[in-house]
Amino acid sequence: MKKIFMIVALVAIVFSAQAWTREADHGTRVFAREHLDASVVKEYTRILRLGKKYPREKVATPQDERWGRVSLGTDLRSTTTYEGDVVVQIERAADVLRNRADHSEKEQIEALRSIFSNMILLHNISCVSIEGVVKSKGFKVYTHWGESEPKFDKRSIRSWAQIWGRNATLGFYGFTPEMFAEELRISHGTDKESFSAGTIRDWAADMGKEAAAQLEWAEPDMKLYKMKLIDIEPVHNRLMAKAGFRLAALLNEVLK
Amino acid sequence: MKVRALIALCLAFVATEAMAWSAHTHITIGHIAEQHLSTEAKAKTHHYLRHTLAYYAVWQDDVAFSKEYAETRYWHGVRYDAKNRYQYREGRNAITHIIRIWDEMKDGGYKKLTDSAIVVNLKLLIHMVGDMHCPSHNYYDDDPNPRYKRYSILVNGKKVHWHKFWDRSAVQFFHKGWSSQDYVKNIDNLTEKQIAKIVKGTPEQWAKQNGRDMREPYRTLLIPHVEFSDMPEENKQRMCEIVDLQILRGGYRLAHIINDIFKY
Repeated sequence: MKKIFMIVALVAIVFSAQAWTREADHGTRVFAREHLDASVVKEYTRILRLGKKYPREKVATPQDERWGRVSLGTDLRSTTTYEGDVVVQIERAADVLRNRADHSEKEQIEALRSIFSNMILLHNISCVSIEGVVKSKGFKVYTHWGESEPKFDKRSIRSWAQIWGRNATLGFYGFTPEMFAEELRISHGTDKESFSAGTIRDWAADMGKEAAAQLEWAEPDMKLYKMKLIDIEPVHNRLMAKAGFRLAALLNEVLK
Repeated sequence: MKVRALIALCLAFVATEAMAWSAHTHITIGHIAEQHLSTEAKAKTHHYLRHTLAYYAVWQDDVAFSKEYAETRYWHGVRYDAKNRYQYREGRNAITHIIRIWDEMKDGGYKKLTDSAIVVNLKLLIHMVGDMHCPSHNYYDDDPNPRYKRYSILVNGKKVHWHKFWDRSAVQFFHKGWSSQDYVKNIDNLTEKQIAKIVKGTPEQWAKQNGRDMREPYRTLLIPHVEFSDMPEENKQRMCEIVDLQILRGGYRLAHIINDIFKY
C-alpha cells in the first residue's frame, strides 16, 4: 500500500498540471475577450469556431525538461530559439495568425489554441526557469493547511508547480469563468496600459522579475503554511490579469 | 498493480476537489449577496476588497488556524437554549460578532476605521452570515445527547459525519454540478416582498428563526447510520428545500447588512 501511495504522490508531483483550474484558465480568456478591439472580434470568433471542425489532437511532448517552460538568462531576458519554449511557441503561433491567409483553417485554430495555453504557462511562476537559479526548475515543499497538527510527511508534499498551478485557484469552487473575469476586472481593471505594453519577450522578462521575487522566499523542502498561500493570492491574481490583458493585446495585433 | 495505482491517482484528484465543497456554499451565498448590493454598497465593497464578496467567502476558514486570527475559530457557529435564543458563551458565537461589526460600521462608523480594519470586518461578515445559516453550525444546549457529536450517515457505504453531510449536501446531492451562477439563475428568484420579509429584523431575530427552523434537520431528517440513498424521498426533498432557503437567507441578509453599512 505504501508503494502505491508513493507512486501516486510522485506521479502527482510530476503530473501536476501547470495550468490553473479549467475555470480559471477560461476566465482569463473571458477577461481577454472584453479587451479585444471591435475590429478583431469577428475574426477571433471565426477562428474560435473552427475548434468544432478541428478537434484538439493529442500530441506527444518531447522528453525535454525545457519543453513548456519559459527559459530566461541571468539578466532575466528570453533569447532562446528552442522550439519547445513557451515564448517561441507563442511567437510562432502569432506568426501563423498574423499571416493566416497563407495557412489552413486547422493551422489557424491550432495557433489560437497554442496562444491560449502558452499565455497561461507564460504567466505561471513555476514555468519560469532562470539560468543559474537551480530551484527555478522546480522543487517540493511540505504544506500545512491548518486543519490539524502539522505532520510534514509524504502526504503533505506539494510541488512548486502545484502551488502556482492548480492549488492557486482550487479554493474557488463554484466560480465560473465569468466570475473569475469579474474579479480581474475589479482588481486590475485600471492596469491595462501598463500590463499590456511591450513585446512577448518583454512580458517574459517581466515574468522573470515576478518569478525571482517569489523564489527569494521559497526554498526546497520548506514548510509552507496556509497563511503564505493566502499572502501570495494577490500575486496570482495579478498574473491572471497580466495574462488576460496581454492575450488581448497580442490578438489585437495579430488579427487586425 | 498499474491499475490500482491509476485508480489511486484518480481518487487523489477527486478527493482534492471534494474538500472544496463546503467552500462552494459559502461562495454561492457571497455571489447571491453580490447580486443584491446597492450601487453604493457595490462600489464601496469593490473599493475596499478589490474583489467581490464571493472571493473572500472562505477567508475566515482559511485563517482559522493562524495565530493572528485564532480567536475567530470560535465564531463560526451558534448554540441555542430551549427557547431558541442564541447563547453568548463569552463571545464564542457568530451572532455576537455579526452584531458587533454591523454596529461598528453602520451610520458612517466605517469612516472612522482604517481600510484594513474595514476589509477584515467585511471578510468576517461574509463568512459568518453564511455560517449562521448552515444547518450543521446550529447546536442545541437542550439536547441531552447532541447529535452532532454522535452520529454519521452512510453515503455509498462510507460513513459521513452529520456535520460534513450538511456542509456539503447542497452541492453533492441536491444540485450536482451547479456553479454559483446556476444558483442565482435557478433559486434566486424571490419577490421583493419575500426578500423584505427575510431581511426584516435583527441578527438576534434571524438567529431565533434559525434556531427554530434548524431543529428539523438537526433531529429528524437525517436518519442515523442509514444509507442516504435509502432515506425516504420526502426527507430528501425537505432537506433540499431547507438548504436552498438557508442559502438564500444567508445571501439576502448579508447584502442587507452591507447595504445598510454603506448607506452613508
